[in-house]
Amino acid sequence: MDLQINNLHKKYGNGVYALNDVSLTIKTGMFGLLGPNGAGKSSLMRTLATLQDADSGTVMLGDIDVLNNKEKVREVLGYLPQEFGVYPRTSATELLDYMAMIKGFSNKAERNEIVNNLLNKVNLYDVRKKAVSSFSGGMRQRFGIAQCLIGNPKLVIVDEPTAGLDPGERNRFYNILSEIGEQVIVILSTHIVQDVRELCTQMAIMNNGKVLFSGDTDDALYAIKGKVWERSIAKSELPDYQKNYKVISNKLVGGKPLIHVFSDDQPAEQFAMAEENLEDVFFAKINELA
Amino acid sequence: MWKFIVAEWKYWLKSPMTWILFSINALLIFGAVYSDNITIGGGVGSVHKNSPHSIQAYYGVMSLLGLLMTTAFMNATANRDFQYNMYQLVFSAPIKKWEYFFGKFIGAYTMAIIPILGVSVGSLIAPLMPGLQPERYGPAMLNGHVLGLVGFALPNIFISGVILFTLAIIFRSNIVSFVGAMLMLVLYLVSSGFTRDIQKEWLANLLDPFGFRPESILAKYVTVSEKNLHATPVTGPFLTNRIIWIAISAVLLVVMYYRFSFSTRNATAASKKKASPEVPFVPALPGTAKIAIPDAANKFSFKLLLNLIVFEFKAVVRNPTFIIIATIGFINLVTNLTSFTGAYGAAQYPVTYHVVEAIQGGFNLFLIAIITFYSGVLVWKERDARINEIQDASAIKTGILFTSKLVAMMLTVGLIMLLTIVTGVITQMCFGYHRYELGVYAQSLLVIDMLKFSYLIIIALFFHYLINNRYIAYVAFIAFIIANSFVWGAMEVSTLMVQYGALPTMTYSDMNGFGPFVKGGIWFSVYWSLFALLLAIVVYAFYTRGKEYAFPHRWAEARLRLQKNMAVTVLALVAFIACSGFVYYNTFILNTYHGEKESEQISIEYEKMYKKYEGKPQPRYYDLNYKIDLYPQQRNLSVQVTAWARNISNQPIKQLYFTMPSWRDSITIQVANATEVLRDTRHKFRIMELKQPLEPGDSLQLKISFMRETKGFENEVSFSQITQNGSFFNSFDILPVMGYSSDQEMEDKNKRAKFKLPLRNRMPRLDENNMAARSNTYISGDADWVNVNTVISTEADQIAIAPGSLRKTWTENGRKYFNYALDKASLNFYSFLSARYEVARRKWNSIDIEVYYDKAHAANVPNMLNSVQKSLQYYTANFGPYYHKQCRIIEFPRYAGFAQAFPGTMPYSESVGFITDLRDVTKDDIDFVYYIVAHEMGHQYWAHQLIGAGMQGSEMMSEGFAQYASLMVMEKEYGKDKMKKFLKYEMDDYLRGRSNEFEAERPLIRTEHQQYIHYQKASVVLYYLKEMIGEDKVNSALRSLIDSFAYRQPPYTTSLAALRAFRKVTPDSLQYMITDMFENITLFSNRVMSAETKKVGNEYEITIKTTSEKYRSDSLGRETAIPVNDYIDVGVFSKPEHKGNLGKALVLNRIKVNKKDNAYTYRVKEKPYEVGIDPYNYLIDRVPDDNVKKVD
Repeated sequence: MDLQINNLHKKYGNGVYALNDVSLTIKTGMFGLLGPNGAGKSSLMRTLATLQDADSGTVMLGDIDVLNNKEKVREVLGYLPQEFGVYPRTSATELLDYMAMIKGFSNKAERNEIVNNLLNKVNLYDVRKKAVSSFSGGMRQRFGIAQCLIGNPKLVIVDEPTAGLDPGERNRFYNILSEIGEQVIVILSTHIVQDVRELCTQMAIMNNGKVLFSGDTDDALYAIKGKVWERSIAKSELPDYQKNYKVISNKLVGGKPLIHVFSDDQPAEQFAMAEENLEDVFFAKINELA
Repeated sequence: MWKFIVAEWKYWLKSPMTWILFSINALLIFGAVYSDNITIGGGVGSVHKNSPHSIQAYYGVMSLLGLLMTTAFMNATANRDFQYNMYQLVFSAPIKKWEYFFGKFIGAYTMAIIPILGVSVGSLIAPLMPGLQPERYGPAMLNGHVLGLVGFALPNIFISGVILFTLAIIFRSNIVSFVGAMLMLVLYLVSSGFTRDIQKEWLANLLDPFGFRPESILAKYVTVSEKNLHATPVTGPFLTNRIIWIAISAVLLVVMYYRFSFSTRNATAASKKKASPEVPFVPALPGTAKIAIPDAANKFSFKLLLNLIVFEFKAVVRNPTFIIIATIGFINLVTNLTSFTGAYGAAQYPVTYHVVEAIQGGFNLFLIAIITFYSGVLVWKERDARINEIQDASAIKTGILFTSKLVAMMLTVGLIMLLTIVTGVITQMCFGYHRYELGVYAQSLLVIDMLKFSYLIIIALFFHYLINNRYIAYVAFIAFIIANSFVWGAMEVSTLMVQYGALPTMTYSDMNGFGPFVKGGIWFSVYWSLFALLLAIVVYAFYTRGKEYAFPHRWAEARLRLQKNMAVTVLALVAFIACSGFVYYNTFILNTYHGEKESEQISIEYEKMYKKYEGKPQPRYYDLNYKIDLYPQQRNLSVQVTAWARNISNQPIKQLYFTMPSWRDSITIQVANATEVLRDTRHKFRIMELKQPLEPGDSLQLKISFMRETKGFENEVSFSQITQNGSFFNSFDILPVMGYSSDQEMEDKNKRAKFKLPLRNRMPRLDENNMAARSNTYISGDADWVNVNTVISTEADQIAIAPGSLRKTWTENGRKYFNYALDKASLNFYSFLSARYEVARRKWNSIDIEVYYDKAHAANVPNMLNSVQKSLQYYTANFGPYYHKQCRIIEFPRYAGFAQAFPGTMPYSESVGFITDLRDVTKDDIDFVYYIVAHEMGHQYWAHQLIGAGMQGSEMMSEGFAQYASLMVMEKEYGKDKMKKFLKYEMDDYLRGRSNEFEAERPLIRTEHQQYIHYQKASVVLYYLKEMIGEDKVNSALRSLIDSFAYRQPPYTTSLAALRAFRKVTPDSLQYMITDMFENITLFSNRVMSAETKKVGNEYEITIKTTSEKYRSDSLGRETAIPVNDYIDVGVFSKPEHKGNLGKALVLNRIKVNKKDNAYTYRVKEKPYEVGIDPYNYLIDRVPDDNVKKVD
């Protein structure tokens, strides 16, 4: 089952385009949606999660018309929003049980089984009686994933799931995600390039509501293979370089700017070829260099 | 500190809120002073609408309402730095804690005073408006404003300000502040429970944080003219209360200052949360679990709904705030349930309907608060927890989500109701009362109230979902409840079909259940339930799901949802329209009613059109034959009267004028040789013209046919006289009045002025030469002494009662028939009753004493029989013979709460006497049952034998002498001590009554419809007279009145005859007393200043210093001192056995006191405990409590 997004438009009241002619085809597996803050990722995610309407365009999940048949979508949807809280004084079991209710499980025994299974799966079974509000960030996100998986969804949407997690927590979180990604469509939005690189076979890059790139992650990397060059320069030289070269990015390494430059050939001999990474793709795309 | 104060000032002076609140206060008070349609305390009758007393009262009331306003100031000031996360910057700046804390408080406090100053502005501007009635306004005076501010506004804002500010700054929680405000209100409400009992006033004085109780207790005897000149000074208990509460607040402020800290706040907040231990993720083994398919995704599942309801319900009831509010509610309820007291402080049985009323009084406010608050909490719960996106994207039907919240909220209310019922039953148990009527509890609280609260819940949810902004929704909801409760009344729209969720009043009666109220109650419930259902459908359609908040999106979504549920929506709409049609048909077409304005208009027109017929000679009824058929189940009545009337005037009568009784469907009057020339149905007036004038001394026969059928149901049940079990109506209800009836005229003098009607005396002036007025009794204008014969039929299991002896009874067509006839011609004023009665009988000297009662109300029946017998014994011995062959007490439902005396029959409301708890009566209470029976028995002489003319003073001879008679019967049974307690209530009621006088206080012999005079003052004065000249003398005067005037034809006698009779038996030395007490308004101020004692040998020498002052008062309470020259008791008493009574009198001297300051010295053998001047409070004294003093 594919998710087919065609010419999706969404304009906010203040005239800003949240989605500007977005078209994507997403297949089973992990799909990474990359973009800076405010790129329209969350708008897209919410639209897919039936929480927002589009002005025009179509979205088809298999044969389900996502925009007009929200109820059908919700039956096969697992959604972990970017902002996600919990009820106070409510234990993991209670809250997950409630989530199972609102996903349509009316049978208490069946819910108990689902809840225990999922808590086991994300390894929160031992703390199931503790209030979710007392969980650490990582535990909470795992709880979020657990609720996502209630009812075996066909489409899982996770919006910025790793924000605020420490590296260890992030790693553990990847493990769970990748496990799910084997059978269903998982859309992961993030502004952290690393996430996509490690998890996703397909990806898209968005900025200002537009899709700048979509395709296989490997293709993206291949496109810039051998075209990114790096060089350490003095701070004062930066404006000159920015004027003369297609500077993808600059970051401080040991207090001195290290610039990445996009160029088919070696721009100058002080430049060394950089190892291609998704970050360069990202910056190249949003800076409209490639 | 100064800089913080100034910062607050700048902030609030620029804030529009300050000035909006100021304008609201100014406008409200302007409205109250300008028009009669807005009432906020003070300013009725002859009290100026801008009198100092009224303005002080406005300040009081507004300082209570201002609690909300103060909350706004205090919360905002306390939280501002935290709300905008400024606190880290502020607290790390080099400032001192005390500067910050007190600076902010003082700043906010001073600014919170601004809004309430609107009271002064409004009340100063309103009297300047054109077109006002000048006599209702006085000059602008400073004292009311100053004392209003000093007594109420400034302290109350300080007290509430401290509580709200400190709670807000320490706990930073709206809920805690809310609970704090609630607690203050609870204390105020609790204190009100103690004002009813004179002995507990001191407690009320202290408990009330707003100072209303001590102020009103201090001002309770203040007269009209004093109200127009003075406000209540901040002295005595009022001052004590203010000081205590300000001190409590100041201590709280300081304590909280020490608790407040810049640095520890976050540490303490964080340490509260216990973090769960970190559990790392370990990938599980490949899942073997079977794949679960949801069975109820996007489907309706009852099981799922139930589960969700339980989840939401738990969320509310487990919330600590809910528990706190409910607990406060229960504390308030329990204090409400600690005593059930009727008139004269007499205990009553906690019958279930009383307990239910106490629950409603004690808890409704809390339930509304809970609904207000928790509807919001439930609606915003997901969004607050930021779980909404997950929920919204789940495959659950919106209807189920919404329904689960709605039902959970209803269950919450239901749970509280159940708990109140349990509390109620426990209360009844504690009182040793074991008739637990669970059905009554359930119907009142779990059905009727539950429905009303459910309507509120739905409208609350409606506001939250449609407005989609929590705070605006809260405000909108509260504004809606307030507006809904008074806007319709103000607009003169009285149909309950427009007042959201309004159900007709339903009064439960032990005798009659919900009787006549059932039908209308059910239909209005159906009507509003259907409307609420429609509202619920709208709320469902607009239930916020997803992130699209713009209206076009929500509208589109709503249309979609409605389309999907078209069938239900249309069905509900059709049902609602059909139901409104039915309710409209019943309340507007089958039954009509006049609004208040309309009734006023009718009475104005009646007076203008027909006043010219007043006093025209008319025939007078003297013989009436009734044939009455009563259908209690159908609530129908048919009456045929054959009446004879005679022309007793000295001129022929050509025209007959009739004023018709008000509740009837049809009435026909047939008079031989007479034709109807006018039938005015709007004003219920008819004129018939006789072909042959009726010559003096001639009689004519009238055949009157009266029908009343109950059709459908009314908007509010106005007709409860004929009912399933307990019909009760009197002759005025069914018999046309011959001639013009001045009773129909508008009485309120201010309204009369407004409608440009001429000044109207409440009664004609006392004048023995006014023969026109003396030609009628004050009861009726168309008859003297009449014979009555009645055949009355009713349902087979009921007993019907009519005036006189029962001659015959039989059964016909499955109905019971009774024939009654009067043994002695009586006033044309008698009653008819029918119900399923138990009857208790006793015979005394060939008189049948009977009590007809409901079988649940047997407790006091023996006492009633006793009181009737003892009354008969005393009255026949002292006043004269009793002419009827029976004395009947007959119970009727509590739709009216009085007892009334008709010839030989005395209907009693079930709420009077039948539920009085006499188990402990000999200890402390007044035997209210015994009293009221003796009083009504007194009327068998005073009113039904001797009746005064239709002029001032006649009521003294009916009510006043009946009071005296009952006092004598009570004194014989219970002794003098009990009389002191009774008279204390009488004195209190008299002094309060004159304080609330609407027009003019009259001396006793000129009382005019003034109950506080002809009941309360008469009791005190006649008892005093008896103490001074002796019971025999008073009784002989009364007997002489009966001998001369009982059952006399017109001209009727006046109170002047009574005055002469009293003068005749009073020695010359005491004649001044009659002048003072009957002919004038005289008050005393007696006081013990000091009482010193020293031991001389075996004896005690005691020196008492007293002051005595005496005043004359005019009709508005302006007092002038006059010299004292009165016999007053001075006494020394030993320690009493019972608290609250006086002990044995060691000395009791009646001394002629003729100057203000006096000293008396006595020697006594026993140790003196108390001394007193006028210790038994025989004299009318504005401060009765300082007459007795403990020995130093």
